[in-house]
Amino acid sequence: MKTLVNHKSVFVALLGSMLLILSCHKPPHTVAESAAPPPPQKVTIIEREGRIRNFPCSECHKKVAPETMSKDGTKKHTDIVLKHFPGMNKCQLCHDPYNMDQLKRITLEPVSFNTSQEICGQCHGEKKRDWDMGAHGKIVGGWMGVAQKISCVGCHNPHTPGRPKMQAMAAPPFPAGGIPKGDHP
Amino acid sequence: MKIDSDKNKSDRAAHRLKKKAEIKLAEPASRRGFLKKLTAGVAAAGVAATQSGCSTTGMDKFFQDHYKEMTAEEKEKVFARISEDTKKKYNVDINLKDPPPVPGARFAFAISLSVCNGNRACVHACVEENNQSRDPAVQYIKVIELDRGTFNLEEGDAYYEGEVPKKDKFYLPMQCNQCDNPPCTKVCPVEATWKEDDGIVVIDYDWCIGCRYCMAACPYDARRFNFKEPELQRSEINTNQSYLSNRVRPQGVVEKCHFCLHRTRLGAMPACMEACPTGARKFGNIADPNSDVAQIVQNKRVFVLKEELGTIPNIYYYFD
Ligand code: HEC
Ligand code: HEC
Ligand code: HEC
Ligand code: HEC
Repeated sequence: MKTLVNHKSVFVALLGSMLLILSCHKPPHTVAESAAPPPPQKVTIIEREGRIRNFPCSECHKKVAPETMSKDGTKKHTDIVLKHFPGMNKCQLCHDPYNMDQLKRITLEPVSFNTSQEICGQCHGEKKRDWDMGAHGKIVGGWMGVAQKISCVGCHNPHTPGRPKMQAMAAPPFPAGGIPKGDHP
Repeated sequence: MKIDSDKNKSDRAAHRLKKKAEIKLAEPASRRGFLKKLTAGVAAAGVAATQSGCSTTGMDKFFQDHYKEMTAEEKEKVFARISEDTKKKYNVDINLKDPPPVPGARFAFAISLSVCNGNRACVHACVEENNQSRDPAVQYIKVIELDRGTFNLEEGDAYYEGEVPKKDKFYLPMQCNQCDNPPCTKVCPVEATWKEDDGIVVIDYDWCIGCRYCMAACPYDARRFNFKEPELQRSEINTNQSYLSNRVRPQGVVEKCHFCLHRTRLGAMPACMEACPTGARKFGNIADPNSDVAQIVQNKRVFVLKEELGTIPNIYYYFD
């Protein structure tokens, strides 16, 4: 018993001295209390006009009289398939036949292609609100300072807005020691 | 999963944000239990010594100070050693950095489970960004497939394949939650893992002794351990590395998601978020009330995984 106590006291003394040596450390990576907060995220919406094929559309459309266009307008734009919801078959719901370089609301006010989310927001109000706050859609470029928000049509083709199915990338390999609990039904 | 009433929800959201704001940023590493840990450390050092093998620089590593105690010059030395080791092994010149937390930033994720379609782009972007071992495959993100209307993580399938999203399924990506009350850091006998001021829980791979207590303590299965020498092709190495994040790990240490701190501390988005083709992942500074993550926590019906454990995770999930 006696020897044990002796050992212990020696050990404690040793630890104590080490503690003294070590006790003046500073924590790593400590943020100064007075430091200014990081610059807030400044989000701009990615513009579309430069990304649309054949823009400006008026190059052609100033020669195409709205009155002469076919009902569904797909004679020339054969690649456009309108599969949005049953019954949506009129291009002019969103496009302005008198000025193809812009879109128009159902109430006929013009809307630029750069703010086409306003068109979608007419019917998808809730999604538009989510997108405004950042809960739907995507912001790229970083979390502080300048960043860009992808507009609705950056992810959804306005004519066939449903998102295609994707092929899942490779699954993790089965663990050699069997499937851990919680990884399989 | 319990869905609570709207009032309850907004109360809780406000409470969470307040709590985030209140968390003392500059909490230094606790000296609590120092004595206990020191004795454990002595024993652990023995283990580490036998593990470090025959590398010429092994002894330098063994006698290296705890990362938190290192001076700038000491760090430089260590970085030079790591760069040299990587050069020797893979013949690539790496750019090893050590970006400090951004003052005033607290990182969080918000993930929309309605939008996530389980394509696993995030998983593979993470592997590439973070120099994870390809064989054996170490992956920080696990996406589990669950039946709609259920929420039992134990019944999820992490090995689904083929076309997604499948009918009547939803997908839940899981990775380290960077908890504000992390159980993992508390059990580490050598203080090789700790929480930094921006909320990121980091690991010093040189200090880790591979005891895996932290893995047992983590309720989210977020930590990984590599039993074998990590296998990486030279061309696969991401040379933009940092000490506490994606540098090539030695064998036998614990690793996990660190919110890509070598990117995010410079203002960039994490690799998984950048790779996500659906926009399900949102990342940002939750201390900034105008950031999308703060807005989502405030306005959407968000929840965290295993809230009842009191870990205070920093990944919020929601359905919209
Ligand atoms: C190569 C010439 C050309 C260009 C460029 C062009 N269009 Fe057209 N577009 C036409 C013609 C011709 C028609 C009439 C087709 C028909 O009668 O079916 C048409 C029809 C349409 C219609 C159908 C209108 C309706 O009321 O049925 C829409 C909408 C339309 N175009 C939009 C655009 C937009 C938007 C752009 C710019 C991105 C564009 N077009 C560029 C030639 C063009
Ligand atoms: C729901 C509203 C809506 C309807 C209906 C609609 N469009 Fe569009 N269209 C848009 C929007 C928004 C854009 C801009 C897309 C972008 O920014 O990439 C666009 C772009 C286009 C373009 C240029 C881009 C491209 O893919 O070539 C053409 C051409 C076009 N529409 C033709 C048509 C035609 C023809 C119809 C009728 C068959 C039609 N649109 C119906 C909203 C609509
Ligand atoms: C005139 C109203 C209207 C406008 C304008 C409109 N939508 Fe729609 N959208 C609908 C309706 C109705 C549905 C069908 C909803 C359903 O099936 O539950 C729909 C469905 C969708 C879907 C789901 C499709 C699917 O297959 O799951 C998406 C995505 C979508 N719209 C995106 C857009 C985008 C992007 C725009 C703007 C370019 C837009 N919508 C403009 C009315 C509209
Ligand atoms: C980052 C890409 C992205 C952007 C930007 C985006 N969405 Fe979506 N959206 C998606 C994905 C992914 C889904 C889920 C598709 C699915 O159900 O498989 C979706 C789903 C939808 C749906 C269908 C929801 C349902 O319940 O089926 C609508 C409607 C929709 N989005 C509208 C919009 C509108 C309006 C905007 C712009 C204000 C927008 N989206 C912007 C990616 C995006």
